Amino acid sequence: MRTGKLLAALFALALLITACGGGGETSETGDASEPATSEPAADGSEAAVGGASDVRAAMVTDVGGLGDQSFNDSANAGLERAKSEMGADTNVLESAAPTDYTNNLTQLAQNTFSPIFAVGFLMTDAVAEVAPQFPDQAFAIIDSVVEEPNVASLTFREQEGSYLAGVVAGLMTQEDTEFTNPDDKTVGFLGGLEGPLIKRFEAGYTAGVQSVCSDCEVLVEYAGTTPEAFNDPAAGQEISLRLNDQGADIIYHASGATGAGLFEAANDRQFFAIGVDSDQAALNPGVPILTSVLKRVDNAVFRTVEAYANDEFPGGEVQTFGLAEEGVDLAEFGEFADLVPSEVTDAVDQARQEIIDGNVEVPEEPGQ
Amino acid sequence: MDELTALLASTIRNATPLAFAALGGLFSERSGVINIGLEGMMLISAFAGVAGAHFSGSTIVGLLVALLVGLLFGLVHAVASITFEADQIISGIAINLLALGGTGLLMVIFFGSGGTSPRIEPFGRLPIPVLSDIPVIGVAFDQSGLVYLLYALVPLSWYVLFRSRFGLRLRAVGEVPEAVDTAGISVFRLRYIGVGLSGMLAGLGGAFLSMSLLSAFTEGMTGGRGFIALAALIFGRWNPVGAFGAALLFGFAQAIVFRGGIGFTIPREFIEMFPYVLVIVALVGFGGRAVPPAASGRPYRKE
Repeated sequence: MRTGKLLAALFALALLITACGGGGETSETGDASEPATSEPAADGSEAAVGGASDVRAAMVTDVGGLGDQSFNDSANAGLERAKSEMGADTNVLESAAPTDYTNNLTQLAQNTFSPIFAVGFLMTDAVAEVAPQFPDQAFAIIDSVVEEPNVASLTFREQEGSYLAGVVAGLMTQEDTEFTNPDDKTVGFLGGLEGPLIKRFEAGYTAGVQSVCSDCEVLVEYAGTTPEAFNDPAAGQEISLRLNDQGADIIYHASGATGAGLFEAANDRQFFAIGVDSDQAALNPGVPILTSVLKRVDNAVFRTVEAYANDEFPGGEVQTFGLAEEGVDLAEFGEFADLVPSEVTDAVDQARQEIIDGNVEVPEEPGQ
Repeated sequence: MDELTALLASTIRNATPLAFAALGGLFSERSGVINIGLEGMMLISAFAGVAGAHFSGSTIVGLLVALLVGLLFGLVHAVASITFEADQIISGIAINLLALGGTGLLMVIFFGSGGTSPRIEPFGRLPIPVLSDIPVIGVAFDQSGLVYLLYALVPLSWYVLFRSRFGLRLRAVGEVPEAVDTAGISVFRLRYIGVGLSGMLAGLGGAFLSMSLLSAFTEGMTGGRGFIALAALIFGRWNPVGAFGAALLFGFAQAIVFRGGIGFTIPREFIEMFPYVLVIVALVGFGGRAVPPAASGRPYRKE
């Protein structure tokens, strides 16, 4: 499916080019190396004037691009913070297609940017190819590991944020609200593609539920075994309705766009959903979304720029960002905060502290 | 809700988009034009409906936009494969790719980012009095207006195709276009109508997905349903009633996967291949072979 999408994007691009009557003048590769793809707002004109810092940090988005309300935007927010707080010179290149990754990374490297962030595991190969050619500059890859001395690999302990979601679900399912039924101590988990990454979310969530409600049942369901499982809201809806029929009155999802089907079901049947990656309650007003597990790519990016400025760049290392590093967290209770008793927020704060202090170790795999 | 009712409700949810698109395929293929672009027509209309409803504030206007865009994509296929005699399979593939890439691009243009669109007000449920109170099957009459439209379109399509003069001519164009031409009737015109209808019906299937079942558009949300609809059309032997039955069967199979509640579990992969296995069975001919319209896939060139 992903390759289909790429083909489709290329096809559409080709159509556009022909439609514009440009003939053979504009080639696709020419486009990618054009600085026109850079974000004008992220141009470092201020920093050049101020000269407060000599850090020149840049990033390359994956095909999702800026405006994805997810990790590309979040990474950009981290750069923006580095710009305003440290006076760093910044630049952002957006990738229209995976073929742009190498070009964009090379272009930034040739313009002496360092560190250069590659946002997303899709860029793993491109970083492994470009980084050795510029050994004096620093690179960082998000959500993946590249073993080169000048590359920092930034990954996240998603299970820790999911644990907090589990604490909320385990306690709230015992509350008597218009969305929850205290008689049935069942909660649900909707995963996207069944694999090690999403299993981390499941493991943390289940452990969190069990920590506050040992006789609670967690129903686990995955949308599929192909990347399409992240993109099938109709399947997400069917599965969520099923889990709700089986008694789950709170369902947490880690399933990308498939989760839109969960929100549909939650809205229809009036039970609670828990979102993922960004504050999905804020993005879907009116839908009973209790909270969301946040992935703070911005914090990881900012901290890495900071480390670079202090000559502590973790080149060649794999860094994991959890609760302690503010790499993951739970969003504020929004619209439905009135239904959440203070014992629940206290329990979340306590669990967060215990994980940060190392008193609680959150499993990475279910059933540990 | 008891398990049987839940299973039937799930079957209808899964089958409706398939049935709309299968009816769409029917009018195209009966006129002699293969339409594997159903998937793309569903997808672009799913987007168009949500965009129309979002910007106009009216779900009905959104539906009309979806129909119009479905028609437009049908006509693109018609121009390529009828007027320009392009390979019908390739034109269909092009439409699928265009819709997949195009909706991604349009999401960014209209809504500022890819992924999932803002939510719209979907078509609500309209329970039919008395009928919806019947145990178990009552759930079939507690649906949105689009589902009732489907119930009406199945017999209507059968009547149009097999009892009306237009239907006779449309089928003739799909079997022996030369004969229709000799009788002084325009083959091109009939085929354009067939393919245009096809686009609109597939568009209804897409609009049902994004505007009734769900209430937002997600990139790639049709997830191969257009191809399963094609399988339903073939298994239903290019007959509206048969295609509807096949769509229900495939929808039921999906419901079993999602609900699991029939006492034993079936591997999901097995159910996913089920429609295609049935197509092969139908094509090799258990209980009489499934034979496509004779002129299907063949461009007609006036002598």
